[in-house]
Amino acid sequence: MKELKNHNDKLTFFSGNIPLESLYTVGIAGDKFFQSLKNIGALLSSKCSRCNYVYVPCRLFCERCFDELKEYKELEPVGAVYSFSEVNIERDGSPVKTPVQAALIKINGADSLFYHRLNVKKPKIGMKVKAVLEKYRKGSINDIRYFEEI
Amino acid sequence: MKGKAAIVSAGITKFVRRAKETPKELAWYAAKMALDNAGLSLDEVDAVIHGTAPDAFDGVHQKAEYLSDASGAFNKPYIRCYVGGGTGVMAPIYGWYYVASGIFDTVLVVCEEKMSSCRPHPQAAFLTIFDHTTERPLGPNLLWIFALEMNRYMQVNKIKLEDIAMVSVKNKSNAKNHPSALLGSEVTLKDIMESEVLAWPVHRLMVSPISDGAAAIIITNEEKAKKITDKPVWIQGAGWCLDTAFWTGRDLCYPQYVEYAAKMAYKMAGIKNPAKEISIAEPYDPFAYKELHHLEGLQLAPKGKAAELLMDGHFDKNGNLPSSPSGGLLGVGNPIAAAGMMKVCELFWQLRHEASGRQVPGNPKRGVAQAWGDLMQVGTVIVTGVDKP
Repeated sequence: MKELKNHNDKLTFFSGNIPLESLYTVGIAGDKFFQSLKNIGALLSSKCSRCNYVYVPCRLFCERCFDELKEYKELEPVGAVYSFSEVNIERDGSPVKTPVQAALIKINGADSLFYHRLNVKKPKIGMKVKAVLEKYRKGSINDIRYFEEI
Repeated sequence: MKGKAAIVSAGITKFVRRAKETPKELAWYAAKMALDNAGLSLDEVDAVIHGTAPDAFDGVHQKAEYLSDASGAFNKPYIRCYVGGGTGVMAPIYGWYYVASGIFDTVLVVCEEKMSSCRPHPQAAFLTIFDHTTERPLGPNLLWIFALEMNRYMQVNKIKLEDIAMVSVKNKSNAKNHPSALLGSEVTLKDIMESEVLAWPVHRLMVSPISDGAAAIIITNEEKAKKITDKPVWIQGAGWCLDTAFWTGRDLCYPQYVEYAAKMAYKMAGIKNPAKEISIAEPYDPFAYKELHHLEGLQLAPKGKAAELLMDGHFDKNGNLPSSPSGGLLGVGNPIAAAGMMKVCELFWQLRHEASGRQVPGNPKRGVAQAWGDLMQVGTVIVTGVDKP
């Protein structure tokens, strides 16, 4: 089998793409979540009345019990770091300008974890953190700028 | 199932960084090699299964259809198997139930991946497997979230980074003797620890490389197997299971879904004490920590203790339970579906004493191969052995 080593050989490879574009909807529960984040800066959760699992962001159904979730509750965007990483490379493999602190955060009052960014000096599992919100919010997960240490 | 199914032949290409061959050509090489090794012609194959991961890698939409002729599917029943990284072990499971159910006598199972087509980097394609509203705008990829999983696994079980790095040292060294290997070499702990930190705590040499390659096996019923070989490798058990696709709903410390999948396979194989009754393990090792994580899920190490056993030499090629004697994804390479299939092929060669420089000592009777994938929630497990089930 041949390994392609000479990337300048125009005959052996060429560039192409699959042009695709999507129009996504935020969904039934997602609409409630982003309204809540945009308007009052809270993280809307939903709780399963059968198993009591609290999902944040809120979801329409419980994957464990398969029931519709009807108990919505606003949670303060405050919690503790469950795990973190400091990412040094871009998705294309090139180095990042500033390392990204990716984190899973256990929001107080929720059972599921919440995925977002941190902006702290030295991240640590268990560190107490709160969300820093954008002043003008448009109903996006990026309305939360990052989580910082309390 | 009452019917017996055996692997009677295997074929594999080299795993390389960027193959000149098209995806079709890679698949054909592996499929043809499996047929030739069995002394079979395509006419003697009743059905074909093709395992391949995201279309985005090869850059061809509906790529199973594109790969069908190269897999020998012309004028035959054909199906694609696709459960992300779990595909390479799930595709042989499809083959097992096709044969064990009595529907087909002989099936050809082919797995192919050409990741080098994906620009600028296959990790970029992984951004689009996340929730489009709550996660994608934050830009994660699999490397990021596995870093989160690894960090949690280390913290909860108090595992040293150096111990995890020793998985890379072991596997890359084992791969030196694999003719398909992309990254077989003697590397030291120092080399691993001094390699670039991609996403803490993941270092470059703790991650398997993106690769191109293909692998294939032939599975037949008992009657056909006897005619083809006097050393059939029997499929004794199969299991598969999903964790939640809502990945933020997991504890990350322990792969419960691998345990469920393994227990399903062990029950079928009549295994009560896997740590004693399994001779060789080929757990999925795209990241160094995953081999340890998966050995625990496979019940081959107590929870949180796989690193200790590794440091005692338990999982070395000459240890009590050799793990990834092939060299794994860390050493041989990781063309996704083909990499999982490579592990199934390795058990085939090891159990037939055909693994040359990689051959584990003694008289191995039974092996387990496992793969893992999708948004890190799929566990697929197969148990193969020299004794008819």
